Amino acid sequence: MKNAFVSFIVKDLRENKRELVSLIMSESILISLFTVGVLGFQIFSSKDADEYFMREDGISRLFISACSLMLLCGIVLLIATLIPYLGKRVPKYTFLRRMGISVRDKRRMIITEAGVTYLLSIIPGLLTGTLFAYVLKHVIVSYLRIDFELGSVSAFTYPIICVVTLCAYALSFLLTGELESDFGVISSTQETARTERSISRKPAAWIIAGSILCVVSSAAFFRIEYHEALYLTAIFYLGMYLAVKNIASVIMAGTRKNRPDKYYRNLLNSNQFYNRYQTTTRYILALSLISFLACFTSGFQMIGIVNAQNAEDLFPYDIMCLADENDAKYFDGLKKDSDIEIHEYPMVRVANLDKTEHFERINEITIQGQQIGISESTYHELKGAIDPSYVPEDLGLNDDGSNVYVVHQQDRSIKAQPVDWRYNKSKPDLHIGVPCIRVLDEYHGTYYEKNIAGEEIASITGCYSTPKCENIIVFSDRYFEKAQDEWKNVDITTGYSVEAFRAFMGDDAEPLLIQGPTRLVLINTDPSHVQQLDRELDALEEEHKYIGNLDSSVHFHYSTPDEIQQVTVERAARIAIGVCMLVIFLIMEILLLYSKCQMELKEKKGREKMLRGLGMPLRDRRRLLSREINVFLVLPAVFLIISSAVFLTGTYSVRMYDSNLVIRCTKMYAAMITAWIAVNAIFTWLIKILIGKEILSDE
Amino acid sequence: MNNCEELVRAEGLYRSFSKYGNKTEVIKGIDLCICRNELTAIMGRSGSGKTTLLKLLGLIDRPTDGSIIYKGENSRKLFGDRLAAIHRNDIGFVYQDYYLMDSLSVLENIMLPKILNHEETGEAMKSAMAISEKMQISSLLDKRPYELSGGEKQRAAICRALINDPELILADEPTGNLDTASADIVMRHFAMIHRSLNTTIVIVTHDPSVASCCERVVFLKDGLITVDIRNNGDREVFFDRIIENQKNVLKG
Ligand SMILES: Nc1ncnc2c1ncn2[C@@H]1O[C@H](COP(=O)(O)OP(=O)(O)OP(=O)(O)O)[C@@H](O)[C@H]1O
Ligand SMILES: [Mg+2]
Repeated sequence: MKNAFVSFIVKDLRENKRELVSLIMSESILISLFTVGVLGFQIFSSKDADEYFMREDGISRLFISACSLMLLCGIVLLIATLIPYLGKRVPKYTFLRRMGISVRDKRRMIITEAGVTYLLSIIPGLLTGTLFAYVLKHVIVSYLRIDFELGSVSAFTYPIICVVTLCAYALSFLLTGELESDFGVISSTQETARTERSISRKPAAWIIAGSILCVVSSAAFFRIEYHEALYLTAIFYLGMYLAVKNIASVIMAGTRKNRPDKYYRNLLNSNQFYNRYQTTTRYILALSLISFLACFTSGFQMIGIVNAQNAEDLFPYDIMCLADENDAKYFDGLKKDSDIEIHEYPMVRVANLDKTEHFERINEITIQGQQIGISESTYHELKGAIDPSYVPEDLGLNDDGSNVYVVHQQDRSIKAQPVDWRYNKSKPDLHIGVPCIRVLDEYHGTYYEKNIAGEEIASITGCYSTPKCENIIVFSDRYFEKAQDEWKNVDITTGYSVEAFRAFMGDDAEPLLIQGPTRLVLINTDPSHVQQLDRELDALEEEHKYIGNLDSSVHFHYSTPDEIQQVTVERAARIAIGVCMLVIFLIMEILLLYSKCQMELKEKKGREKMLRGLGMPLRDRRRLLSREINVFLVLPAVFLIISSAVFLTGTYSVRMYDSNLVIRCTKMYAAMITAWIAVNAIFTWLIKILIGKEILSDE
Repeated sequence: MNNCEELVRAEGLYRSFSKYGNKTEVIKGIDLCICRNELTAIMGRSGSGKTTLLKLLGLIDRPTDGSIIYKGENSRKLFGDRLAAIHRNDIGFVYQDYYLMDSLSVLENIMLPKILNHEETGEAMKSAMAISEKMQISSLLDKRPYELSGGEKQRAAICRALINDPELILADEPTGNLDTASADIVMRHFAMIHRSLNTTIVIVTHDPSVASCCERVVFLKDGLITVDIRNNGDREVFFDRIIENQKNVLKG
């Protein structure tokens, strides 16, 4: 009895072999993509590697974000194969239920089926994923000549991958159910047909809200303190979606009411809008968003790198050293060496409240940005040292020090970074001296809000450390003198002024006063000397950890050869990942459109039969079909161009590109989106041919 | 028979369906002539091939063998735009399963042939209103087909077939889902256009009283025409003859 049942299940499954195989294959792809992502993350997030790749987010983080996108893509793929699969299986189960199969047996069948497909896919998925990850690792390591210790894969990885992909599997089942109720792809019955409202209740309100979102988000993108945040583009798209959708629906309703001639002429062509407005617009939104993510986030990242200045130009000196009074002797000794060219400038350490985007837990030390504070005349000297033709200009600074001038020392091919990260403030809270250990923002009186009188992105001492640190803050000469003594008045433990500290802790308490670095030392010499100096300075590093290690990316000295290698490696990795993402986005875009067409196939076939019977010429039917699909190529392309124009301009503005660079990048970007649209058009055309073959006939 | 002006003629008609190598003959050699301005009924058991024959006569399906002569022209020579134009203007087909588009309103469904013909909207709407008034579905025009009952859908499909005033109407069980009163309305309308517009009508039906309204009844059995009778004037006599033949055909 039992055996008969088991063999029935097996036989039953074998009947839908084709669907089963494609399901298992797409599931294997999902699992292997995810495995690559997780393994890549673990391998490249070893302690050393993390530091190595911290210029923006770190290569391991790149793996994670790429991985989540891949997972999304995998889910889309899975849905696309689940639909035909379930289309075959569900009627069978419905039939069995009507035949009176017991609930237990049915459950057993379904579980067996899901289990078999999952088990069959997990082993090849894990194998290929692991293999691919190690090949990738090998390629990256050998191609980029990475010489640090890489992380290892932890034992929990594989079970976690199994669980997460199982969840993804379940999620795609749920989503398929959702699509099923949208389109009735699997069990299209008339009772399940869903009507969609084509006009919302208060279109004017939505249009206004959407337009406001668009304006606000794009305006924010033009300001450096928003750090080219991706969520702004999401808000922009949401706004555009609401506004355009509602404007179009008002126009549509108007056409239907006041211009029946036009309405009826386009009855069939615009039917997918009138009849299924929500679904259609949502697909257009999704496709536009994918296009935008592909072209702008992945694509422009690459264009930025391709047009970036040479890594060597980012570092005008061989070594930068932030020395204090105790190092005077050492550097005086160095100055005697005729091969070494040393420049020394007075500086103060400037801390800003927060350089990270996230809050640490309450008892942890808040990581703070550490910048280089110099006087206006030092700034002019530094500029002059790099560019002999430099003519000093007024920086708009004032004597009381409330105005500062900021030089963001960073690579222009990465996102523009503000000085102060917290709250997207345009006026940074700056503190002169080394960072205070505990900063209770409400009480501190030693972090002052400053106006930014002007800012530029440039390298005048070298783009060392992360862009979040070692930027230049310029004070007026008068204020700089005062600033040099500021450290005497701040208790580093609490961030209180000495006076406030005494009032709080009692007169006997001893505040902790630390002077921090006072000399900005820039050294140029020949390569052999650089290595030797590097070693010597490394030995001194320990003495300059002023208040414990507040931030591992801030050092006493920085040497250029290391940094150049790091920048080069990182750029290469970014391009590699960018290309991968672009391809994955393309696959997602095409699969999404294809699965949509597949889902509507049944409905379209019925319509086709009817229209043929009513005497609509084949040519017109083909044109109708083609137009319906073209909408999903043309409208996303239009939105891509509009939003790219907005955000590209924003990017140029916050990264302060000069006109030459703007022209170069824009040309490349235009070429890229043209190629993107062209490739999409080719695939759309293929989809049309495929779908047309299924549907169109002229007997 | 003598004053028959031929409109459609089937000659040695065969139609078979094959799937996975299994071939089923459905129409097995039919010769049938439909005269202009004739009101014909096709009867027969379920599965006897009535729908298949009707689709062949309406040039919607193609025979595997034999030919359909439409207005003196072999249907094999009719394709593409000419065939489409014939479907649009000359033939009105009522499908057994209606084929209404769920994404359009009932009114739009009815107007569809006119829209496909690029006719003027106001006129199209007027005629759609008029025909739906006659079929008593004018209150349903703004609904979607899936909101209608089977009989209402059937009448909507009839309206769509009639709106272009075609010269040939092929209706597959147009009264199958209707109560006697509604069926009567439909049949009376058919009779009316048949008389006033000289429309040729072929209907498939299982209902002897519907068939008795026609001038001619053809019985189909196992893919062949077994009986072909004409109304000689008296409807009741004709009705009895239909009942009798139906019994014979059903008995096998
Ligand atoms: N597309 C098709 N493929 C395969 N077989 C078909 C197809 N269409 C019809 N048949 C077969 O042809 C036979 C006749 O079908 P048809 O639809 O003509 O019957 P009918 O006389 O209209 O029956 P009913 O009164 O139930 O509508 C049936 O046995 C059916 O199985
Ligand atoms: Mg039938």
